[in-house]
Amino acid sequence: MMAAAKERGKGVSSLLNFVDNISKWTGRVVSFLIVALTFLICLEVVARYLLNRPTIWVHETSAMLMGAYIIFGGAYTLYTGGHVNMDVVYGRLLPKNKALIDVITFWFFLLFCGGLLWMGGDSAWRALRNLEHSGSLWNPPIYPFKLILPTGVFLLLLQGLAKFVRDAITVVKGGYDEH
Amino acid sequence: LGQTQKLELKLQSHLIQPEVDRTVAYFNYMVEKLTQGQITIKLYPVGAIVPAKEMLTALRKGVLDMVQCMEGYWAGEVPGSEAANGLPFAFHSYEEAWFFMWKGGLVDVMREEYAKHNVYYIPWEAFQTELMTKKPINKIEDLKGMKLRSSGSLAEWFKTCGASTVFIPGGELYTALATGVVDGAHWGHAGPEYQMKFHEVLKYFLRPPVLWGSWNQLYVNMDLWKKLTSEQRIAVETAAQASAYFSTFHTQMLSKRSLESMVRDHGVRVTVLPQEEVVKGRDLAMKTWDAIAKKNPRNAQIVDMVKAYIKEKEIPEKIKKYPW
Amino acid sequence: MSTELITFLLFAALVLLLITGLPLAFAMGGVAALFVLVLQGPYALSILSSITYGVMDNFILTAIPLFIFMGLVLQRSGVADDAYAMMYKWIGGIRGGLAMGTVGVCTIFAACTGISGAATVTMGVIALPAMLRYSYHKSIAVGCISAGGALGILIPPSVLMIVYGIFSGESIGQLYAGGVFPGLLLATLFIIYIAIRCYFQGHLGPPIPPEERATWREKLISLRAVILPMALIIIVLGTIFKGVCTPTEAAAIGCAGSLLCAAIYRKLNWTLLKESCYEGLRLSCMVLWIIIGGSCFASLYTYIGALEFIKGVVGALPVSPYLVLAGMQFSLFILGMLMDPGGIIMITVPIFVPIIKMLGFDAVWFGVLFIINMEMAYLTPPFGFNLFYMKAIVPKTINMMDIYKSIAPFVGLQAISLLLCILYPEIILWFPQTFVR
Ligand code: NA
Ligand code: NA
Repeated sequence: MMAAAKERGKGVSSLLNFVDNISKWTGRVVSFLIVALTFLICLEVVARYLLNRPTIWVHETSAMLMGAYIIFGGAYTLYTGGHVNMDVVYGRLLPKNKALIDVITFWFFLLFCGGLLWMGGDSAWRALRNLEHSGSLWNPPIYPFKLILPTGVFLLLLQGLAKFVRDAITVVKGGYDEH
Repeated sequence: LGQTQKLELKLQSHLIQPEVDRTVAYFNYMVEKLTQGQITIKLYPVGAIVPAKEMLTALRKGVLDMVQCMEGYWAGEVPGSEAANGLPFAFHSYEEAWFFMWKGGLVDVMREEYAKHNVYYIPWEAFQTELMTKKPINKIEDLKGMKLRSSGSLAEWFKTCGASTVFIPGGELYTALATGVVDGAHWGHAGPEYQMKFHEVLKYFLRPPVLWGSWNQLYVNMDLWKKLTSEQRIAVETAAQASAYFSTFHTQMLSKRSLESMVRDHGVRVTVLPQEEVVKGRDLAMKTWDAIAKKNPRNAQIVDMVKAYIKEKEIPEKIKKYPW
Repeated sequence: MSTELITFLLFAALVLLLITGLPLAFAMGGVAALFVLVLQGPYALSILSSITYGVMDNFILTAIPLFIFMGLVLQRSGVADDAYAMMYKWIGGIRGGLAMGTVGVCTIFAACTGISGAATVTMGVIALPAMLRYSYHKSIAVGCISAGGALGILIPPSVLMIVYGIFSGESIGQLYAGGVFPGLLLATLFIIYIAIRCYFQGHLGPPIPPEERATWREKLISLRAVILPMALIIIVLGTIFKGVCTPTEAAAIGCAGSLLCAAIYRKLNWTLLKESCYEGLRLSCMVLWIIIGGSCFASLYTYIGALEFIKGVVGALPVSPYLVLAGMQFSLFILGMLMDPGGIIMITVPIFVPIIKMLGFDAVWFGVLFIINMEMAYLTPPFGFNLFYMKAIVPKTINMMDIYKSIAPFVGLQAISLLLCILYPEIILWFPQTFVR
């Protein structure tokens, strides 16, 4: 019995760690987009000011990179505890009570992310199905940009779920220890 | 829908608050009058509920019941929208653009297209797009090497003329013009350009307008449109047409006065392209039209329609045949 | 349900959720989602995705991650470190000199970056240990760093002014120009305050003993340290004013410049790049997700018509315009204690700015007053970013109460500046009206 429960605990734990790792590594990879963004915008400035030949693609590419940077970084920021909160009251609570409150407020997080995932997915699917383009002079397909939102929010939701499971275990067992 | 049921519709515009009042408030008033108060409309300025680019999505879903917006905002999503928002040097006046819309069949084409997006399409107001620059433009050649803030079909035309186009977000446009990041820009006609304070930094105003027949349209959620009684639909369309006239004349007057003030009080100079240069511009524009036509079949269809319409000399005959 | 009731429930729900410690971004987004769902139905949840796409597509917002990254690179490359060492050699001999120098460095930093965190964290790491080592009192040492760091949002470039410009429709260039003199005014007031206090209470900021003071030769050599930071400022501001690029693009030029500085300092290695990228993503996402959540909340707020309701109430008040203005500044101060300045802008700007225009006030002037008020928000407990940053940096001997006490006089100085700028609008308006318009 004990052994089976422990096995199960291990299974849950490794699953949660797996989610953590996804968030960590997508975050680490997209964090370098800021260097790409710096490079691209400087390139545009040089092309326009020095060569007198502004590009038609840098701006839209930048938007794409910026979108991926923010949205894919959401899960990483949650994983590292970077989303700020007010801890005047919360900060003074015992870990168990914090977990209890987090289990309750999680549903607001779920509603927000669920809405984004659903509607972002809807927009992305539409753009993909109709092969929509941006409509600009450069006119690239718009679905890669639209797909960023549901994909990134899915990862954020996953990380939020992992936190929820940990909190729920803390509430039920009175504490959570990594196996 | 029951006769007694009151409807409060949400309309978001791509314009800022004072412009919304100027162009749409009369529509609101008319609808309320014509439906004996059954339908009232709540007006929201640009970005109040969703960003301008997302208004089509919001309209499709029914988050917004109506949208007033410049045609071409969703050119990537709605095939034909780019060509429908006017081809450079195609027309010579807003009346011509207006007749092409109702008479040349553009309205039917666009209604069919927008229906696929769950949207009912009501043409509203045609106006001109005018270019302001730092240096005078006396011939098409002068555009060569200029950096202009532009978009849509006009951006294509400037490219054909040897200018390059630059993206600058609206919030930074004035700064960019003042410091000289770009050499010129268009922001509709003289009216909004005056509001954007272009005259402080761009001292040359080009005539004739590079484009006649940009459109501000009214878009209605199709589910809502189907739910309305036929009387209510007639009321909405009538109110739209009445306020469209109102707003068109208002726009033209505003444009005229703004340009007068620019010239009188701010030292703006109007340069007029001579006829042979206009012809040159039109020839170059033909290439642009073809480039736009290549983007999708709807654009191609509209470009063909424009070409046929321009050749057509017997417009008055057709006007007589018009069902109204 | 009446608009009044919905407004009440909306804010009650938000405050309750904030107290429960749910991150600000998700609290605002979650409340928006719930109300959209209940009031309009599931289809209307598309407002959330529409707004998020709008934020992703907003080119002006790219300045935020760029400035954050730039600050982090400067912090890690030792550029600020050297500038501080220079300051120390020159004015360490004066009572309170190190603290005054710190405010000076913060002002330079403020002109390079658009956020408050970069200077606060950097100076907290470099200047705080030095000041404590030379027996500066913690109340001066901690206070001058937290207050000086906040200047980053008032002296251009400023990410907060960008957010303000987006939500109010005001020209960002005008706001930038308007922030210059109030920023210098604040820095000057801080320095005067430190000078007076340390002059009369020598133990607060004792001078460096004469035998430890640098020689003229050492002083002159140390001046090299300001070359790079000055060059960076000139490049960033110069590219904007010479029409090479827009303010947003200048952020990218600044980033490239900061990397170049790091290279010149021979600190540009994989570790620096990696750490700056990781930390940059964390801070940027924190800010931008708050913008997403806040925009959703603000949009919903407009959607239910509460905006007109409050506009009507405030507009109908039979009081003088200056009382309305005072009321707004007071409510901003209170909100500043509870919320992040970005969130405050998003909630209040759509309500306040139309009223301000209606009353005939200059909108650029109000915008800068708003930002000066937000200077206080960074310092006032319980929710103040600079308090959090400082808490993360200070040694164990300094507790949260010490930090609160140290910032109090500086908040007072900020309030005085705010009052001065209300009484003498030229402090703000002279520069933009003379040079930018
Ligand atoms: Na700054
Ligand atoms: Na605060």
